[in-house]
Amino acid sequence: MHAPSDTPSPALRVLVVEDDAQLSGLLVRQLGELGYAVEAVADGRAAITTLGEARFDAVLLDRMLPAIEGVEVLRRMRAEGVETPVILLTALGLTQERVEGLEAGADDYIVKPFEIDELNARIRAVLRRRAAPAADNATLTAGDVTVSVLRHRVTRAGKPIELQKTELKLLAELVREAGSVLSRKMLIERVWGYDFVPATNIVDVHILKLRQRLEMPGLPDPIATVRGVGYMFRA
Amino acid sequence: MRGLRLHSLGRIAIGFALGLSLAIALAGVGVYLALLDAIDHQVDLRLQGEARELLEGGAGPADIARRIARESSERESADIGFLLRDPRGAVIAGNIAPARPLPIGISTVKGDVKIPGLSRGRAWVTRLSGGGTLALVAESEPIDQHDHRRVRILAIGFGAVVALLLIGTFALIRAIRINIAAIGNTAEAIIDGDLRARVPVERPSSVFGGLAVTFNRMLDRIGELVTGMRSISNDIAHDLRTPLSRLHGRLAALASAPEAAPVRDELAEAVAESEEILAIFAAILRISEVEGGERRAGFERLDLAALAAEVGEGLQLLVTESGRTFVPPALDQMVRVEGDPRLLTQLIVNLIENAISHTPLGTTIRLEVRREGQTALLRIEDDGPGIPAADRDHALRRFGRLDASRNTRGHGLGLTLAAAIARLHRGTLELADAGPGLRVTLRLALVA
Repeated sequence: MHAPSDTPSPALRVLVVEDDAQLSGLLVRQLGELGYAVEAVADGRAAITTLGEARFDAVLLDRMLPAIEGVEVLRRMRAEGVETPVILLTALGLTQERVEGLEAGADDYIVKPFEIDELNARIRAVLRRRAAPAADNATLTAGDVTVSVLRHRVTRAGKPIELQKTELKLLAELVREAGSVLSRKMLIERVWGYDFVPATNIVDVHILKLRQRLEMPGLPDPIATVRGVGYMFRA
Repeated sequence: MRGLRLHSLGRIAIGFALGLSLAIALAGVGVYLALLDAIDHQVDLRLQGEARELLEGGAGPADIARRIARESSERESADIGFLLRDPRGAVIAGNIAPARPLPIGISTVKGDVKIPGLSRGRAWVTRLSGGGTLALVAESEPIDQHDHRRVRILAIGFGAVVALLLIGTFALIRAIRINIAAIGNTAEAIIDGDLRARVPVERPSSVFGGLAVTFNRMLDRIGELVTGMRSISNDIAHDLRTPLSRLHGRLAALASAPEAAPVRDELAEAVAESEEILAIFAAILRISEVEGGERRAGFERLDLAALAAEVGEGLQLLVTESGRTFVPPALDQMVRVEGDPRLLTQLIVNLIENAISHTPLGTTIRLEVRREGQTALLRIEDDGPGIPAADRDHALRRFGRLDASRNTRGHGLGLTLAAAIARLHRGTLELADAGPGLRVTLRLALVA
């Protein structure tokens, strides 16, 4: 089961810049299945040329490329005023690389290997952030749930709900992006601030608790589990 | 080691200065004695010459008295004292009156003979054939108050030499110390993981310059080897990760395909297995990143107590839901350290996850941060089975899983990474017995 509902229409155009032909082929096929219009190039020079010729909604850029390396392609893109959202793909996931990538103007960063649903969730998140930047933190609402981060207050159907700090941060992320899938890795980064993947199922434990806290007789579970990816707050 | 080296350097310098001073003092005394001896000899010869003139031609007392009167008035012999006595000791002629009788022959006289203007001299006394005595006395001091002045000159000269010696020795020690320190600092930087550190070379032709050049060449060589090794391990990790990534991607895609329904659980297991292998790679790469030391560039001042409290809060539910009790740190004081907050976070998470996976249900896991003297102390303690003392070092090593935990999840790199993070922060990670249980203590230097 793939991330549901938000199949793009009209098709979102994605450029894949990846020199590993097999991975590139796999990405083209899988993203195509998700409804994206995908084009692929194998090196940095071709990427710059292609970006000059056509408009894309997002670029997936491998960090290690022949001829011109990924971060350099990104710098040149940004220097020429190309503001297309870019997600860097990397094999190593070193912090230094991450910082360098983000400073060069990347919108997000994904460490290989990743699942296609994880990538899909990140593409969605980047596009959403571009469309509606920095949603106001004061009060977030989705369905019958309201979260006031600053005042540490949560209500469901008008009734107050007691939450621990971490639970509240998690709920705020889910509500802010209601209707979209957030992967476990994305939640780990945003709620816990870790730049590594913990060995334990910390996200699942907290979601379980959150569901218990939000439970009300006669009302449905507001959090949907997206198998193999993560969670989504029902809008 | 360095203390010992400098200590013996100082001892050599002090011994050298003492030895040289003693030699100079001995030489001074020797010269002084030889000088006196030579002057005495000259004075003796002169007195004997004078005496011969006075006694020339078998002169009687009257002749001698006359000659004494003449000699006393002549300029070149005016400084000589004469005294002629008859056999009964009565003075016949002379210009001195010694306070005590002078012995027959040659002797040294001093101030005690009370001859005006004489503090040191030589006396030559001879018995005359008629029974009387003739005494001649002359000063043997080259200048007045010779000894006094000479001691002063010696003292000043000696002092100047010793001062020069001390200044020179300390300058030498300082130069040696600075050069050794330059090499020592470079070695410390290398130990800290900065493989690009080199000893500054001012003059390659000097002894220390030559040593520094050799040392630097050795470091270049080590650097090449280490870089080679690192890039090999990174290449292996990278080259294996790419096909593994593809395998993982295919498995995951397969697992979600509708036609895979009958074997979905098996596929999900396979996906989980491949994730675990990839997690090992991630941990290896993270450890080599941490060991490289580059992340020190991103160090910032932070409150370890606040950081631990926040991380503890994020993990509280995880621990309690796992059927264990969590005691979060008390947030009652600032514990300021220099560090990388993300890595310190990972250290705490690793240690607490480690405590969860290696203790039975009902265990209490305690996280604590406090100051101890000039040290920041972070402690994670459980009351589980602990690690036997003999196995603790092994537990910190790469893949150092203990037999007792072979069957639990995890790759055994959590403690290794924690130890590497501690080293990056120039701190220590220590495993100890919590009686019962395991106590892991991180110690870092406090900053103001």
